[in-house]
Amino acid sequence: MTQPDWGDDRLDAAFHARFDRPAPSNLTMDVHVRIAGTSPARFGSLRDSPTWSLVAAAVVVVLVAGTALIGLAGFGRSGGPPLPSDVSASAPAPSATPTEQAIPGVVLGLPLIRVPDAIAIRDAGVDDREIAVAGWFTPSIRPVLRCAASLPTRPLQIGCGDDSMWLTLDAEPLIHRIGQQIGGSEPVGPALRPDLSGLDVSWQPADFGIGSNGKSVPTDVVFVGHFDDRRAASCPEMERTACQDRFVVDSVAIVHGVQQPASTVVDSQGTTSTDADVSAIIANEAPGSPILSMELVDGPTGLATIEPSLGTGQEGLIGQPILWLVRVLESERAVTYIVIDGSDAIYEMNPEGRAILVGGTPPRSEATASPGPWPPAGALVLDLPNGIGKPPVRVAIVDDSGRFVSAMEQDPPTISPGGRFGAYAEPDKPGRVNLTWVGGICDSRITIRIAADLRSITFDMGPQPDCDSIGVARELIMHFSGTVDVPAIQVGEGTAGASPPPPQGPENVVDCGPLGPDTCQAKAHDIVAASPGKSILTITFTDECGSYTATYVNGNGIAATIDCIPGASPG
Amino acid sequence: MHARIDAIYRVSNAIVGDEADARDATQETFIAAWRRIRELRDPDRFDAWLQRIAVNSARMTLRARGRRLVREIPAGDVAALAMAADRATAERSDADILATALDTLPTDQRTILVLHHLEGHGVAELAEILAIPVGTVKSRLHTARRALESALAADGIAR
Repeated sequence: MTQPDWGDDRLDAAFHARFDRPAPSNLTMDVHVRIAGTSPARFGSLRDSPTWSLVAAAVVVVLVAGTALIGLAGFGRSGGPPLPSDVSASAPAPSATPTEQAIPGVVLGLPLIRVPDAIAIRDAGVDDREIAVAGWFTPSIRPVLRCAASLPTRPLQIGCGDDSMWLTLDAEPLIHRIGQQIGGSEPVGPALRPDLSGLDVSWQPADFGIGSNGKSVPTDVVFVGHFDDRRAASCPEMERTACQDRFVVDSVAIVHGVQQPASTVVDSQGTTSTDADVSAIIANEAPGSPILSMELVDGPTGLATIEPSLGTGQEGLIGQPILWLVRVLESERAVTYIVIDGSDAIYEMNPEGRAILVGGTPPRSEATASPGPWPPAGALVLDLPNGIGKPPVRVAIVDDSGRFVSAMEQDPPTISPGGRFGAYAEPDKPGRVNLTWVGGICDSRITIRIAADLRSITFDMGPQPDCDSIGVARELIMHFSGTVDVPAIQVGEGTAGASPPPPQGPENVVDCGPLGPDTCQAKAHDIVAASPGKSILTITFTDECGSYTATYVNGNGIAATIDCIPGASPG
Repeated sequence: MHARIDAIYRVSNAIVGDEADARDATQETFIAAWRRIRELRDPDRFDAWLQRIAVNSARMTLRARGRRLVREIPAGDVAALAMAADRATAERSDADILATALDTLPTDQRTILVLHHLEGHGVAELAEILAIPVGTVKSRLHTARRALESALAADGIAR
């Protein structure tokens, strides 16, 4: 059978034959319910309105009605930042303060809400959509505190001094000075804990805004940000809810009624790319989407403090000297892009914390191929005494489980290890692991990696100079969130480099096909991890997106399809 | 309202290639529309504005959704399925052939082809919906069309 070429007519016909079908009958109802939180009758009466302007107005009416229905705060307030009484009103009150005059009711396309409204959204369930919140900001008093030892190891953790930082409904004076002492108090009214990491905060008043009366005056702001940040998954389990509830600020939109430019924080010197270069790359990838903020970090030491999931060396990004982290507002959500300085390579962080190459070509560099710097980014580093006149042994603990909390040395060790490496549990201490090993006086840096499933702890004893070492018994007391099955943990020596351990079993029978070797290994590891209790014989990748077929030793197989976005690295 | 939902669903389905995801993208489109309705300066341009939101929502849905659908099947069936697929190629309709080819294209190319061939938008309308210059629309449309033809040819189905 001979068919004509694919001309316009044939294409048009094929498109219509394939896709021209009505929406499912209940979709209209679903849309109504999600928009208004009410019955479709309200909307239905406007269905046949002659012009969309009427429908649009109706949408606003439904918005306001729906907002009231889900119990968002009333608009009466005392001392809080002024807002229009509904989103359709934009004219400021006659006695408007600077913010009142500046707030248009919509910021970056988002309806302006106040702190109680934001709290209602936070408490309604997991929702990471961007919101614009007006309120009064009180900064952290961390700079005047001595608390380096308790600084958080994961983003979004509330660490030393962060507990004094608030976005409040009312202008509450939360910082006070008595003599030479500065202290903070908790707000009385509705308040949020904002996270301003990576943003320019030069707009903050000097001396915490403390006036001559010794009390602070908070700053009148509008923040654009979100709850339920995906990085909360990296917080210790017992702190995860607090991390999810953190209001992650992506943009400081308005301060004292003055609209602010997109924040750019430069933490690296000698960039090759300019702001304009990076903006152009972003505009090409996300056309029409506003940049919320930019931050420059160095890959080896800075990246994992912001994106912990990249600390294992994914895509080799921690090997890049300078990276641009750009937060962009796309379809109501903040999307983080990473651009390698001096290149057009752009990655998008996906909800699972993977960096997906979505455009450009990553530069080839030795750093990318190297195992990474020491200590690995995001590791907790302890210095263990090594005898008089000797430098301490540096121990870096890399946690892939997300459950590790802290560690301290038990010196001298409680028990002598039976082998070179071991672990034991103490009675009635379910979250504690006593880790023992025999080192030497020639040890200088040791890397301990805790596996994601907490089933293994591996040691990389680091460089061992040619010297006659005397065995030194060591013991670390490690604290974890939740109960740890210590006898099930395998402890031994391995390479605790920047990359996660290779997949168990199929590494010799993985056919990478068109998939890059690095991604291939990572994906094979994921596939094995997703098949607990099964022994995989072969994994064959069939396209650049990572579609694969795997066979088990029992003869069964698994076939996977990937929703391919050609040109993007598979996640 | 129904007509617009049909149109948005149609575009979403064609871009994301999955009915469940198209439902989600359609809902996100209308929610985004009412949240951003104040951005709309000219009600006469509502449809282009709404379609732009739909394109963005579809794009975000593609990125956000789980990328892997795994089903376990007997090993022998893997090969059998592949053979069956080969046999079916010769019997597929234009609609199915097109769908297969579209699946191989990048999202942006699929989007512009959908808006042009399914929705019938000309270059000026595409420029407004996609927020890019007319000249860029022309070049992207040309590139997308070439890519589609290549995809059809590579599959041995362009005749």
